[in-house]
Amino acid sequence: MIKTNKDSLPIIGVMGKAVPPQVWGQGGSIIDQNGVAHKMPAVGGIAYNVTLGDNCMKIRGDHFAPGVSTSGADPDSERAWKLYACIGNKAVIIDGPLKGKEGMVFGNSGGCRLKSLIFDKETTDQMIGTERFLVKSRGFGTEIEGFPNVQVGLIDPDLLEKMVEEKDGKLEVHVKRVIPADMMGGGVGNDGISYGDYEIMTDDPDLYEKYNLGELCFGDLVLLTGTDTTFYNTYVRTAVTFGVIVHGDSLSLGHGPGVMPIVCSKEEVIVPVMDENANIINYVKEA
Amino acid sequence: MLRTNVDRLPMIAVEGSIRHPMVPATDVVGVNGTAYNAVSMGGITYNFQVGDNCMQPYGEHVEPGVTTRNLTNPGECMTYSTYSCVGNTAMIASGPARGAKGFVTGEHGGCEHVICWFDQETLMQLTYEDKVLVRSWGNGLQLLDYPDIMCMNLDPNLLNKMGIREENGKLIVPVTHKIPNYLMGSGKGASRRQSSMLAQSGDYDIITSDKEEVEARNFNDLRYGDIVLLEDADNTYGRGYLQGAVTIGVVIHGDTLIGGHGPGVTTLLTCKKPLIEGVIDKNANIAYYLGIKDIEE
Repeated sequence: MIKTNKDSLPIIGVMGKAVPPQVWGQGGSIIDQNGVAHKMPAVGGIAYNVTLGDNCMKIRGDHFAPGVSTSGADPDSERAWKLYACIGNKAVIIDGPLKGKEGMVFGNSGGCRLKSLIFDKETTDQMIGTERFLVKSRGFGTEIEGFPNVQVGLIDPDLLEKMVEEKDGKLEVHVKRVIPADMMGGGVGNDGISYGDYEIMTDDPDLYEKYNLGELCFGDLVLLTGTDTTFYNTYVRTAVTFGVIVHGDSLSLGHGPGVMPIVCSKEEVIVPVMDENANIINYVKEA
Repeated sequence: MLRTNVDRLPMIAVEGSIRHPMVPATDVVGVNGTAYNAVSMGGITYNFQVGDNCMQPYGEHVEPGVTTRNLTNPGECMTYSTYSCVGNTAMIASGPARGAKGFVTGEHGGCEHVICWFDQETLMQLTYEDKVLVRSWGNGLQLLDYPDIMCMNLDPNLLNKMGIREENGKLIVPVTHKIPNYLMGSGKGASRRQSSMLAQSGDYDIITSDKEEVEARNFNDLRYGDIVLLEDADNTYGRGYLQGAVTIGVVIHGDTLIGGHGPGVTTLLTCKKPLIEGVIDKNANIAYYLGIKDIEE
């Protein structure tokens, strides 16, 4: 079992709010890689029928995220909301008829900086889009003892400890897919673990089949080889990133399902165990 | 000469202001997590011009010559950078250098800069109150015999100066470097909120984070203005990855110390099918094609 510096991490309150759906393009059309316009919903809002564990590749939606999409409660809160509220932290509704209901922080969708929160179906069904959330955030600044060359992403350290095992001087993780660097697109050059997601490109149908991307689900765990996300999303031959799928596919060139880094390193210290059921939901249930 | 629809293309004046440098670039965190201080993009750059090595300037995304941007409103700003094409004539529209002519040499995405070359005598007279008028021409350019090859950001006269040969239904284009898709970075799959037709303005960066790759591929030879080939790069309706696709671009800004970035490439030609081939030629540079520099024997 890994040991982290979690006892030295401050717990900081950050506040967010539900945001409405964001409509992109002319008439809400998404233009695909062949220049054809498709009409479909995109990001933001409350997803009543899409949650963690569902297939993320076959939804008729662009960059679709599960649960309720949020931003900081006001412009001043924005950066801290995105950075401090970590995957697995508890989120609580602070006012209105659903006051006190608890859910979980999930992923950032980088392009428009929204953060997904996951609540149970009964609570989600009652949301109306004016909800505000408090997260007693913890995780930004996590380090793994004995692995100074590993950068931890925006993840609750209690959840991290369940997901990562130390074995023979390496960190072992269960993953559903191993994706090489040439597949990585939207998000390249952005601020690594501090940003949000880094997208797997789904432009090439042969490569889509080769990596069996059609079976990816929200919350699936993947390993990105040759991909460095320590300070920036970039190519470094020896780098490895272990991450979680946080949003769905896109028809746009250079885009696809988004991966949010959990741990990463410029050195080959993270090793995969292939597991078709590797999904963050397995570890959340244990908590 | 390639057959095109040039007779149908409107030539429309667009105007930008010379843009003061806007990024202090102090305590920038590099790809290895160490902070450094350097200059960044923007401004009137006196000592690095198109044709010069773009990996040499110590700084972040240093732009050669004169940086311009339309500062009025977002719509005019995007229109200025989308309409301007590499090789278009640019003219100083104010001040003591009014009337001096130069060329557009690149479009820098995100910041929406149109980068222009002017001769040294003109540079010495410019201030940040000056404006630049671009005779934009090239939007909608089509190759009549190659419907699968898309042109963009390309002045029709520059197209005819690039030494392109036609052979067996393909275009053979002189290039200085061939770059695999995994080494193309920032700007790939860029924000769709800026424009729905992404590669029609701006650029995307060659990744220089992995120094072994930089050495092995001679990236340290890259110059502003080099014509390069991007392998498996589909830039038809965005910037993505499709095996067999080919993109031809021009290098427009300098290197970086941050990750996922590097010299920027503005797209000139792109095709989903392998109908473009590159032949290595160290003289494949717009500084030579536009008569800015003489080829050194």
